[in-house]
Amino acid sequence: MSAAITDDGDGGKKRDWLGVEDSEGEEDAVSDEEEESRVKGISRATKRRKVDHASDDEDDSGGDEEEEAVGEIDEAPKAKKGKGNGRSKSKDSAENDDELLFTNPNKLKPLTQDELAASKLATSKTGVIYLSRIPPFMKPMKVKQLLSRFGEIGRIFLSPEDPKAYARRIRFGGNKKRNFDEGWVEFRSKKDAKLVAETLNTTTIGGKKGSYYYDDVWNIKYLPKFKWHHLQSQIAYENASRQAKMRTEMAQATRENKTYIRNVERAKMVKNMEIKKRKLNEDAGNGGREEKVEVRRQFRQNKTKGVAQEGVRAESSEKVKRLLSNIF
Amino acid sequence: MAATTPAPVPAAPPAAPALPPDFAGLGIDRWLVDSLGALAIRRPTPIQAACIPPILEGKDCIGGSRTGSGKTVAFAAPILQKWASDPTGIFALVLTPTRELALQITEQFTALGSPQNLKTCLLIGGTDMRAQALALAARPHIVIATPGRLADHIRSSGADTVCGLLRVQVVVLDEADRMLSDTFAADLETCLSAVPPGGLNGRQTLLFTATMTDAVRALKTLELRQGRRQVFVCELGTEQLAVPAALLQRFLLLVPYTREAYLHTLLSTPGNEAKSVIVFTNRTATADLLARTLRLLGHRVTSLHSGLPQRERIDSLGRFRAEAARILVATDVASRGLDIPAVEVVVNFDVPRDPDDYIHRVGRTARAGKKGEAVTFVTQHDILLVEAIEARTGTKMERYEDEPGVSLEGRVVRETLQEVSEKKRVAVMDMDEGRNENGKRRKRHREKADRRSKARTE
Repeated sequence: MSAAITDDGDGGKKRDWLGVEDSEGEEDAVSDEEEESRVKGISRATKRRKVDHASDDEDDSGGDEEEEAVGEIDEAPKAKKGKGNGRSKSKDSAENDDELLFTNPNKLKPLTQDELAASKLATSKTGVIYLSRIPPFMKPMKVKQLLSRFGEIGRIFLSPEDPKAYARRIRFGGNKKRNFDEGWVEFRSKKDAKLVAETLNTTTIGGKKGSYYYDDVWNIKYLPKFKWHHLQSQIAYENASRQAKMRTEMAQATRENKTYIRNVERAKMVKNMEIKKRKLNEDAGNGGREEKVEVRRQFRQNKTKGVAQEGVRAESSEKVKRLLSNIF
Repeated sequence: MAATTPAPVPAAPPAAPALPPDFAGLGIDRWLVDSLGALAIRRPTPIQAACIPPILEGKDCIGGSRTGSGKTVAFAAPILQKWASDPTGIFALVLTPTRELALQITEQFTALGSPQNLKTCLLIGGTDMRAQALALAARPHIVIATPGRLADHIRSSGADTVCGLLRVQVVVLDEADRMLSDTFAADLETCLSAVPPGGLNGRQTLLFTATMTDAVRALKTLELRQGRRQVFVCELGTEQLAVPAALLQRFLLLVPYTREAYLHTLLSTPGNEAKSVIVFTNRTATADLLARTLRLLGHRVTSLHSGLPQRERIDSLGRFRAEAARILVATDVASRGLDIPAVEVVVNFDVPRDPDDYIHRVGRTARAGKKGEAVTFVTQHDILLVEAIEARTGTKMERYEDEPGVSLEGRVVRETLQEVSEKKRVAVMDMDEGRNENGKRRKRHREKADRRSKARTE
């Protein structure tokens, strides 16, 4: 489960970039290609909706809540999503979600040389800060609102708390709001990011005196030489290697199964042949003769333990004897 | 209903004792008869009829009886009655080999003793030690414990906390054969050192088990010391038939490679689809893998083994009890004592190495006269084990026969084998990646912290 707020396109992709806890998300490899990510974004969005409606009974409570949470948090980016080319920042607000579902991803125009260069430049200028602690129950939108005063913000990700911890808090009558553990914020300009980290770290959030977060403290670090895609690359790599591993495992399983099934068939054939042979023998009149069972193979046998095992009594006695004398 | 003086019960195992119609006939007080009745326990079983009067008289006792024949009540009822006549500090100490069993016995004591405001205290591993120490220091009436944790308290919680144990009058060792084995010997010695010694002026000791071992039998023959209590021995039918008569024991001969597929197929036949099942394995790793595989295959499954945190162990047992989960995958930690009436089928995924374990495992079903079924998966390596089990139980296992209209082998070969082996591989990968049973990856920083603490201890 993850919550990512994006204001420049490809939201579906980012939603699961960390993939720390979402098994569903893990299976879809995160790829850097725009088109693919968009297709996945769509399919995942529809999948989510389905999950939300028919929540699985068998899942324990923690799992269910998690599913809901995903839907809840996802609303924001979906609504906000600019559907145009993210890197060139051309926002095409005419399209809405439903139209997106029928868009043929293959018809998306490839980036022109200029656009590509522009997007690369924009990426090189960005800076990422790390929030080691999120004030209690502060949501991504609030973080964005508070930090956008210091510079234009790109993407935000706050990692939600452990669903088990959440369930525990609810059980003991705690706050039902969602907590976040840590987070990353991308600034469009490196300078802003550095400045924010330098000036805001270990200072109070401030604002109006009555505000809930007035006395809370920022914990911010600037991540040098760090881009947003670094956050995703590890996950992408892990997913890809997992899929490759899974493929070989499945192939292996299929091979073994085939061998087993072939053996079962052969055993049946041999059995039938034997039955036929015996019948022939009986018909020939020498049925009374017992056929000798041929031992072809012997298997190693597991040994018994405990009382049934010989020799245990003698060695176990020392400690136990002393104990037994104390019993009555 | 006038409580008459209890009829003298012969000390030797009675051949066919005329069972008294109710507990009042055994000398049990009215309030206890009522609270037993509230739990739908009205007619004493043979072991209860035989053991309750001598325990009330103050004799030491060794009780052996089949699984599911009511041994817990056989010691709980007389203890509560004696305690109620003089409700003092720590009156009794009950020791069990497993935590879940201790929990279950605590629940039974609480249910029976609630009309008299009984205070119990549960001392088991895997939970907070400080809270337990406080509870123990508050002098509860009855302490139920596992030996390791109690020994730990005796060693480290201070004399103030454990001095209450010096006034214990009754000590019970449930599953005595297991308790008197090497595993628990050291801890048990520590525990017994903290309670008064045996004898006429000391504690009364009660041993109960479903499977007698030589260690327990040796106690019978131990010579009578000066000032020792009389030992009452009652062994009902553990010799001739150790498993309940209403239990159908069957085996399925198969190759180890196809065990998971057969299990999946067996669990989803029309006849078994709705039944509550316990699947026993020999190792925690097998149990873990099996639970994950079955979960991926869409079964409602929960697991109980020592690899889980205590919280989850109790939760999963609770889920199984409440029938929120249909299948419990467990190791031998669940094989003894647990009383779950709904269990209809026990599957031995591995053949137990110790025949006694087999008796306890299959004893999770067919309890209190009900019907039950046990299916044991036998591979080509387990012939000796099966022979040992058959010799121990004195019965022959039958070959598993397919339900009408369902060919197990056909289904495995045609349908399930591929699916199950794929899911199993997924489960293995999940385990390698350290995901939990719901497919969520564990928090990395927690793992890091574990590694760090490990490095520190080394």
